[in-house]
Amino acid sequence: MKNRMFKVTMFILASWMIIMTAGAVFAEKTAEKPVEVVFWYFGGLDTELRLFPKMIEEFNRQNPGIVVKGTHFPWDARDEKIMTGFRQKNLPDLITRDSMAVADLVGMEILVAFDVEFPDYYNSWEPRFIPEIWNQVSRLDGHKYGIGPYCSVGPMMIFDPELLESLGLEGVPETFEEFLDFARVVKQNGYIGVSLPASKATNDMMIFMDIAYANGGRWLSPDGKKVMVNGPAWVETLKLYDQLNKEGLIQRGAMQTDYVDALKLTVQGKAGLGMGKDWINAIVYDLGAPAEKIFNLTRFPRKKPSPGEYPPVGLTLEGGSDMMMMSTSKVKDAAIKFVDHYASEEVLRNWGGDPVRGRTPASFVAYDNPAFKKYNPFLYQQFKAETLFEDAIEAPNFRGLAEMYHILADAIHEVLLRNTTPQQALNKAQKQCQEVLDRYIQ
Amino acid sequence: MLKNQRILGYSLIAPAMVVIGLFVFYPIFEAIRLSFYNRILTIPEFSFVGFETYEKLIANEIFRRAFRNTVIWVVGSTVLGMFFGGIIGIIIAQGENRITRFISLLVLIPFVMPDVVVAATWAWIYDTNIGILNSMLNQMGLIKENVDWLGSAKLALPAVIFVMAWRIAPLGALLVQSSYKGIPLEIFEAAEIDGANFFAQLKYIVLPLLKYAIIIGILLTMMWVMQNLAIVRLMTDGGPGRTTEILSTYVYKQNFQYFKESEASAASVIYFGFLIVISLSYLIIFRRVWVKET
Repeated sequence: MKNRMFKVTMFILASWMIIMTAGAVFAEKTAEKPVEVVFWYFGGLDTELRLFPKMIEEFNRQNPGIVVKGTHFPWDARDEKIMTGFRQKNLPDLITRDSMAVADLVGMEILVAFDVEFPDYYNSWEPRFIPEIWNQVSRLDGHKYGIGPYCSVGPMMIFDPELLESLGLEGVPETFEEFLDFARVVKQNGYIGVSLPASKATNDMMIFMDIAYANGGRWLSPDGKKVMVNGPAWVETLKLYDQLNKEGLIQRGAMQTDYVDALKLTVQGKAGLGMGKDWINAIVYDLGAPAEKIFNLTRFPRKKPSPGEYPPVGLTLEGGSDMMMMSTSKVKDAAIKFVDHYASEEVLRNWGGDPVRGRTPASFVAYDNPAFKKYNPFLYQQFKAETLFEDAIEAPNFRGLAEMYHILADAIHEVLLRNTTPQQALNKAQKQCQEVLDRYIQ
Repeated sequence: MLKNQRILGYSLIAPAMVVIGLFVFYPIFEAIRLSFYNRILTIPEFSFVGFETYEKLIANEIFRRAFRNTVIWVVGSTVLGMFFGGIIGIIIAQGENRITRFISLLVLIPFVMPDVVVAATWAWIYDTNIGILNSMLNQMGLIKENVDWLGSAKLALPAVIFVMAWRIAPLGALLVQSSYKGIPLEIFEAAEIDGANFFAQLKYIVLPLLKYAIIIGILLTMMWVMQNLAIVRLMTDGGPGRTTEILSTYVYKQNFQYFKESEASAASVIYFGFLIVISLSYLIIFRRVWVKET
């Protein structure tokens, strides 16, 4: 009797557990779950890293049916993460990347063209952005693949006017010759003349490229089939580097000094002049410079007359945190809403000096932010005079570019090591780069 | 019965063999397979090209330089690391007290530090403008102006080799120390009675008896050095120019920065072949010596 009661009790308990479990599973399957959008963002300033989670949280709150899950990765991991995600067929729905990556990602057939797949959203965003940036940056073959709140522009020179004045130097150098003269005076007074970033970092090579472009150089011929890196503008730029090195006007260990370390020398008052892009003040602020300290920016000097075969460029434009959608995304309709949020004026305004400072905004609304005028006086002045984006073109964006930047770095190092002349080094680089390009155009 | 036991044995190790096959043999096979194609991730089309990728690789000046640098890097780091490790191991094996035990722990520090920390620390030590090495040498009057350790074509490779040797010396010290302690004391006592001094004992007793430990140590450290990427990547990234480019950094760049999968695979296969040749040669020599002595 007892045995039978025990068996009945166990049977009832087991049945109840099975029913409850089945019910829970059924309820979970039928309950409406919010759509999950996976978002990867790479690198960024401290202020941007604090801004992204708030932006995601705000979006999730405003859109209860969608959950954006954002994950941040270091800048150096950007290619690895995308590549391994691609191989594992485990890409996110959205990423933020530099516009230089567009050609490679389109080549991998993993990017969505916003103008093709979301024309209504595309048309609604266009009036918010500076036309020179909107029409050029993150585009390939006319299609728009990335939407970003700012652009890195260059080449720029950074200087401390008080230091230069104390050394009897007035104004700013506008030509290569004046630049060398300034650097010589600075050096004679016990400072480093110019803090030169000449490491293998891509940003250092982009600074070199910006100077070459500003002097009439181009990476490729107009038909995109010939590498032009041994042209006169590139040679003159490398001759400038060589001259600075030979006269001891740069810091020792230039080939191990990247753009951040080079900036530190200027910020610390050890170097009279520095070079880079517009993000100089952004990085300086990130490095802990006092909030009210603003370093002066101006366009980098040029060789007069322009040595290059092409029209000198005012500035090169590179999107730094452009939002891109993966073609593998299964939740595109939800993901586009987050892109729309990113492209909204409320969000874009953040890159106008507060909280994110030192960037060149891509949207009109950011220039209206009072903080922009305060923290970017040079850029604000140029924007108001409508000269900021005069003769500005997109920074180059084609497959094989990453490898070519490393080849360019080798050429620069060979010259700085005094193993060869600038023309010889760039001739060799041209041949190697041409081999790289030929693989893609065949 | 025996057959059943065999079946049982094989079935018990089968799961482990599947895992080893998946995580060891499959990647090797896939790398070899990919090396016969011309796959670049940013070009959708690719085809079988046989040994063409290998031919291009061998004709590539940068690859040849990386290979040459790798040989110097591996031999230099291993010899230096085992040499200093061996000396340290013999020194700390001399006594068994609190001091030697404490020194044994200190000696392990380079071994247990992560590669990233080692690279960042040494990059700072070597820094031309603010590094403590230049500062110390200046104060000692050994140099008149700061040395560009990592930016000089002549010094950059020896500088990173020294760091790698510093990193692996503790392994050599541990191997030598533990083997040294296995040598019976009576041998040393007999040698002392015969009038052998410390160096004679070292030459005729210690080194011959530590031969196998040293051989194993060299093989292990060589394999460890060959697969190391972080030290060179973070300290010099192959620069200045390509003076410190090694096969690890070359393969990394080809795959993760240039998206050239086939070229990276071919370089890895050549690297793998190099490692196999070195290891097999070593084991063959080791076996011959062992057979001869037994």
